[in-house]
Amino acid sequence: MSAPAAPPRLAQWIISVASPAAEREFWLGDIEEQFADRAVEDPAAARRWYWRQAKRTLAHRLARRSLRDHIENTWQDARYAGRSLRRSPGFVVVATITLALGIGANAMIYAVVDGVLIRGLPFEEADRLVLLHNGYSDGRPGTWLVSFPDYEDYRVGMTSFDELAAWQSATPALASEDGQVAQRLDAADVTANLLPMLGIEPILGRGFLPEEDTPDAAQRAALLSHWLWQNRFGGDESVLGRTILLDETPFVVVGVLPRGFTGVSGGFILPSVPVDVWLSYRSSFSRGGMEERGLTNVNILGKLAANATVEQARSEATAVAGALDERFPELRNAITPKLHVAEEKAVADVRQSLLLSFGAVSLLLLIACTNVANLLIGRASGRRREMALRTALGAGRLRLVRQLVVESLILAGLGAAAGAAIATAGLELLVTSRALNIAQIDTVAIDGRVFAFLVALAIAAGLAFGAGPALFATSASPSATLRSEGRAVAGRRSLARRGLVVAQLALAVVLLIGAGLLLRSLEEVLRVDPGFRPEGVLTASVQLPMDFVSAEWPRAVEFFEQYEERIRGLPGVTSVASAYQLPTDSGWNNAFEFDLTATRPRELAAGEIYSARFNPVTPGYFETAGVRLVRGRTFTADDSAEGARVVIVNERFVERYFEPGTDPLGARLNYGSWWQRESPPEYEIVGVVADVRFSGRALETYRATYFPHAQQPVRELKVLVAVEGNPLNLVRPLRAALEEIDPTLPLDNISLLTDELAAHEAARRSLAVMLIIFAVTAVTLAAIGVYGVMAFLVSQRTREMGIRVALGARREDVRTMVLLSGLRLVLLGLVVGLAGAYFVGGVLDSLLFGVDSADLATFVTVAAFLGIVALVASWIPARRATSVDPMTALRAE
Amino acid sequence: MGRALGEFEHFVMLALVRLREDAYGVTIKDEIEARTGREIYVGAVYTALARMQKNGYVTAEIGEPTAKRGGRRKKYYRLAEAGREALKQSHDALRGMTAGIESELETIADGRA
Repeated sequence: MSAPAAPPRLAQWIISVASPAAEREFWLGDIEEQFADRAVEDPAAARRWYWRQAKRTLAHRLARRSLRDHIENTWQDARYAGRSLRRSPGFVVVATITLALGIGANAMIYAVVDGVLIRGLPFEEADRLVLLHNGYSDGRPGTWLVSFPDYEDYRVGMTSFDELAAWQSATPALASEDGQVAQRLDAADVTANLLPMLGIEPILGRGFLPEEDTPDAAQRAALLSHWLWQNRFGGDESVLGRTILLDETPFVVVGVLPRGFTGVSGGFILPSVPVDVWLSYRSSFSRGGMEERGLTNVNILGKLAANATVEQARSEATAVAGALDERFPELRNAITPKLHVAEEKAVADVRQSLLLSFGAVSLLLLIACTNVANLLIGRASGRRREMALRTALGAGRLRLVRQLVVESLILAGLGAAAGAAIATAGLELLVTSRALNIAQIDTVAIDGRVFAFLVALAIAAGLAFGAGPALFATSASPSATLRSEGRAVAGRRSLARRGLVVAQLALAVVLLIGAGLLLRSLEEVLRVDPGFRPEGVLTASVQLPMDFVSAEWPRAVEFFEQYEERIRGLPGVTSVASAYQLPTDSGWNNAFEFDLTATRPRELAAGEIYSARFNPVTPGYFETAGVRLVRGRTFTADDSAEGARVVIVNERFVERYFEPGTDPLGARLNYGSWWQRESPPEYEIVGVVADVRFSGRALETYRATYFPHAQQPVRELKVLVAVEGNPLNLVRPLRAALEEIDPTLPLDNISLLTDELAAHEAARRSLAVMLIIFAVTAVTLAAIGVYGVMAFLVSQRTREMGIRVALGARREDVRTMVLLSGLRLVLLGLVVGLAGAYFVGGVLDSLLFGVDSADLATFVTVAAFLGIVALVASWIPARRATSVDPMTALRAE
Repeated sequence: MGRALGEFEHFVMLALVRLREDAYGVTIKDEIEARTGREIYVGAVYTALARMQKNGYVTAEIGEPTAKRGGRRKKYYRLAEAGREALKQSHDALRGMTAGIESELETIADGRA
């Protein structure tokens, strides 16, 4: 009897899948029997009928399968999976660790990306906050602060801002109540509208009143941070109305700000250090310079009006600046306002390293998934009999696949749980190490959103690495598998595994090259001469109260002379000096302008003005800091307030402002601080010193001028003490010496110059270290992957090898044969990875220093290293395979 | 005492009685369709049979594969003792309810036709 027509295959498959496993055969048989009867009469109608049956079966199935069944089945699957996983604890541990590394690293970096790039600044309507700085109108890079009178003009002259606020940081000393050493605080002088603009309200008391923000306010108002309130005032509510002394100036506490608000939200927006106390701008320390249009020390932060754009604000600000140009031509040379959206500015510098880290952990997760997929395929080949048996006993394929996927999801869940622990620990490390140079990083945490991401990632990963192996494990027909041990599919299986290994090696190569390039770059940076000798130098800062300013300068000069004298007498001290800026202070952003009188000055370009960085130092500074003298002389005690006015410049200064071959010594420089503007004094250049890379070794340095402190006094100096032996032994004596002069004055920022220098490279170093950790993890995983696949391939060929050896092949030859087959995979992986690294290497360019992203040495080293690792990983199984006795190998099957 | 039989279960059982040795999916479905005039979906038959098998009303037996069925086997069903009992009770109940009003029921049926 020949069937006139076969039933439609797809419909048949649908019925097969949708019918209950136990009844499937009879069900299908019945439908097919009826189909056969109908097909005799009208084959086309029979096919249509068959399709109708498929639809009905599906509908029937969906209707019958209640939610409870689903839950029950899934629960059964989970229990079965649990039992099955318990039987192979080694596999579970390896898979869990692998996944935990991938998932954990991703969650950690995601937490930062989410907290910093996605969520933005933690302020009300933070996307409308805009920063306003001074910049050059002729395209030169760089921005600096604005003067207070200019701020007032911007505030009055612009309508596109709802509010325009100003702030300036200060570091006053808070007097203790029993006359003991005062406590140095980080303060911010803010206009009264700043905190309300950010949506910050006091939890106790009130904010600043407009009448408190005036120069003739009845009282100076202060708001305490939650931290200061708790730690200095014991959280006592009666602190309201109390008068505190800051730099011996009385302030009245009017309120306490909420916990967690420290102002730190990217150093660009508010101070980069946590603020302890907030003071009302116009009545506080900043009051002194409020009339000075030449004193550019004000940070401006505004909130755009609801309907205004940054572009509108920019053109308005430019118009205001145009009016200023006309009124004060002598102060404004090619200056224009620069506006930046605060959120963009806050992350501009970190966006790249953040995205780079995200890329790195994504690769890591891919490798981890590949590895687990590989393990699962290996496991699946061992379980094909189990699956075939269960199919023969009536389990549907869908059911089996589902059960295997549930198994993968359980693994992913374990990986996610361990990954959450890794993410938490890693984030802690990331925050403390400041590997990503982000101010807001303190606010980053593993919260609900990050957890949701982690769970989603685990599910996606579980499906990604579980689905393929599950389909594979249940693919072949049960009878074939049960009869033949499934040798027929071995080829396809090993092809998949080889493919995964190649992919894994390629990904590891990309990651390792990225890490290698960053490491090489760090090496290059550390090779750069910083221009000074930081070893064995202890530093600390002393800041005199405000009343030393201007009128009392002689007292300030005398104070530091006296302090240095005492330090010089301490045991172990070889030299001592003080400076306004340390050679490591990247805060040398205090460019000042001057006039130069020289015999052969270099011609200035149109609109160019003389400008340089400013650093008053005491005699002995260059010797103590180890800054090399190039020409002329350094400062001596004779360069006093009464002595001839002198200045020392750096090499870059000479290059820029003198024709080559000109002797800069004897040239004269006119410069006056803001209180000397009426008649700027003239200084003679008496020395040239080497350039100091004060912004870090990787960054270009700048023109610098050094003045004798006696002739350009400031109220805050940092002492540098060169010490024989352990510099830290000197901390206590240094404090005691200061106390002898003034028992209330605190000694702050005690540090080693070596640490300060290293801090510049901390971010670069940590990023490199982080990437190396990721890369080493990736290599380890890839090595495990290679080992696993080679061991599997070798085990498949044990019999063949046994025959070869029995027929007289030397063991070495067999081993070589195995190694060569491994080598092919390794080479392929390396080639793909190197090509990939070559093409994506460009993303690293801006992070690299002195190294090209296609650096041959790095590529070769990485290829060699990974090649050796992979070869060792394949050599172990090769050796083991060939060490087996041929007879044992032959008998084994 | 077990719950009362549903209408469809009742039909399936009556079909089993009629078909004796030859009761499997297709024949049961055909029997019910022929006698009730309704179109029956074979899956529904199996679902009912599976439920009755669980209740111990029917027993099953696997037959030989046939070419017409694409080499698949049949599953024959037979009434178990409990099934007979349930069927009898159900039938008695129905008969008790209809006793004495048979002619009236005929009229209603005609009237509706």
